[in-house]
Amino acid sequence: MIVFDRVTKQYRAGEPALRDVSFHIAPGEFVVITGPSGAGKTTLLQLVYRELVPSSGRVVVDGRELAEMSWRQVPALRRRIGIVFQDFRLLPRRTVAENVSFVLRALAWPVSRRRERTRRVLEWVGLAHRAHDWPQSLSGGEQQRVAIARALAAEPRLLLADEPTGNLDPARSLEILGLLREIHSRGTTVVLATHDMTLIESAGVREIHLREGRIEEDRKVA
Amino acid sequence: MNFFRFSLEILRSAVVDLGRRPISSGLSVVALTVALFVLTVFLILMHGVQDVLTRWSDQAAIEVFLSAPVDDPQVVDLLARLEQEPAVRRVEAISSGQALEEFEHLFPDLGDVESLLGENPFSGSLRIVPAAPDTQEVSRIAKLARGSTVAEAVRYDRQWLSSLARLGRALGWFMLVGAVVLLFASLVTVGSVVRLALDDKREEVELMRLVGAPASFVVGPVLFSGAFLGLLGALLALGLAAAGRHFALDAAEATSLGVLAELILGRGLPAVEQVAIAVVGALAGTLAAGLAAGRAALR
Ligand SMILES: Nc1ncnc2c1ncn2[C@@H]1O[C@H](COP(=O)(O)OP(=O)(O)O)[C@@H](O)[C@H]1O
Ligand SMILES: [Mg+2]
Repeated sequence: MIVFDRVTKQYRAGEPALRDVSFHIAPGEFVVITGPSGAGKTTLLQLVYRELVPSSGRVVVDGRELAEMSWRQVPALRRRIGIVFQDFRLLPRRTVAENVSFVLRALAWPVSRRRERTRRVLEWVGLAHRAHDWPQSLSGGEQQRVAIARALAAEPRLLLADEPTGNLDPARSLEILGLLREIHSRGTTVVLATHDMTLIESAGVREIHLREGRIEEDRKVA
Repeated sequence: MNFFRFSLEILRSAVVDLGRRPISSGLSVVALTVALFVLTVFLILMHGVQDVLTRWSDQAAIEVFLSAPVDDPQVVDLLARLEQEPAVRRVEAISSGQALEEFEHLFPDLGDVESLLGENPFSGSLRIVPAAPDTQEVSRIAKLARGSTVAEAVRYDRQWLSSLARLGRALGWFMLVGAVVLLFASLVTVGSVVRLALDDKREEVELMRLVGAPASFVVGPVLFSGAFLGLLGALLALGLAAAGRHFALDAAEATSLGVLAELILGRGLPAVEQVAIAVVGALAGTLAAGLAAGRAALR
C-alpha cells in the first residue's frame, strides 16, 4: 500500500529531515513510527499524503508514484486517506456533528447519507450524545475522538495519525490507541507517528524507529 | 460526484461565507449598486438623446420664408432646384393662406387672426423635409435656400438640436467615466470582502485540502460570492434607476420640463440592456473575486 524507496527529504535549510529511507507497508498493517522529536516522523507522513514531495527517491501509494501526480489528482489521493493530528484541528464555530459532516459535505455526499454516516462514526467513537455541542466544550480526549471520527467519515482505507496522543494524559492516550487498534481490526491500514514509546507496548504492532532522519529499526513487537 | 449537488453545496457555502460578514458584504453591494446605477442612468440618457435626435429628424423641416408669393417664377425655380437635391426628400409650398389656416388650426383659441390684425400676417414658405437626419446636409440645404433672393429667412432647429445633443453626449461621457471609476472602486470592495471571507475560513480551506475536497470546492464559493454580490448590486441599481425614472417623470410632469423629460426618459432602458447590466454586474463580481482570491484559494 505504501512504498518508500530510498527517500531523502531535504528542507531548504539544514540537514535532511529524512535520509535514504526505504520500507514497505502492506494493506491491513498497523505501523507505529517512533523516534524523538525532530527525527522526521511528521515529514514522513506528509510525504504519504503528498503535502511534501521527496528531494530524491520514490514514494508510492496504492501503486501511484506521488511525485508524478499532478495537483489535480491530489484530492483523489487524499479522499482515500484519513488524517489525525496532535492538535485535533476541529473547527471552533461548528458543532461536533458539523465538524464530521463537513468532510462529507466537501465531498458532496447527499444529505441523508451524510447524516447517517456522521451519526454512525460519532456513535462509534462514543460521542453521539455530544453531537450538537461545541468542540471547545469537550475534553482533549473527546476532541481527539471527534477528530478520529472525522478522519473515518469518508471511509478511508488508510489512516495516518501524527502524535494523536501528544496533548493527552496517559489514560486518554491509551483510550485513543485502543480506538486506533479497533479501526485497524476492521481492516483499515493505520500508520501512527509518536514519540511516546509506551504506546507500542502492545503486541503485534510493527515499529519503525527513526533517528535523525534514518530508519534505525524496523521490527515487529513481540 | 453529482454535479448538481456539488454546485448546490458551493452555492450554499458562498452564501454562508457572505453572511458571516454582513456589513462588509452589504457595503460592497451598495458600492456596486451606486456604480451600476450611474451606468444605467448613462445608458438611459444616451437612449433618450438618441430618441430626441431621431424623432426630430423624422419631423424636422427647414422652413424657407418667402418674400414673394408661392407662384412667383423665382420661387417655382427655387423649389425645382431644391427638389433635385438628393439630400432633400420633398419640398412643400405653403401659401400665406395655408400658413394662416395652419396657425388657426394649431391655436383655435386665438380666434380670427386676419380680422383681428386687418390682414394675413403670414408670408408663404417652402417646407423642406430632408432625406436623412444629417446635420451637415441640413445646413448645406439651408445655405442653398438662403442664397435665393426670394428667401427672406431660413429657420431650422439645428442649433437647439446640436447643443442639446452636445450637452447630452458630454454629460453621458462624464457619467460613463464616472461609472467606470465607481465600478472599479466597487470591485475593489468586492475583492476585499471575498478575501476576508477566505481569511475567515482559512482553517476550513486547509481542512478541505487535507480531506481531498476538489479545488473547485474551495474556489467555487469564492467566485459565486463575487457573482452573487455583483448580481445583487446590478439588480438593485436597475430597480433604483427604474424608481428614479418614474419619480423624475412624475415630478417633471407638471412643469415646463415635462415634455423634455418625457422625451428623454419616457422609454427607459430596453430589456436587453437591463439583462446586460445584470450580466456585467455578475461577471465583474466574479472577476474581482477571482483576482482577489487568486492563488491563495487554489493552493
Ligand atoms: N517546514 C520545514 N522547514 C524546514 N525544516 C523543517 C520543516 N519541517 C520540519 N523541519 C525539520 O525537519 C526535521 C524533522 O522534522 P519533523 O518531521 O517535524 O520531525 P518529528 O515529527 O519527528 O518531530 C527537523 O529537524 C525539523 O526542524
Ligand atoms: Mg512531528
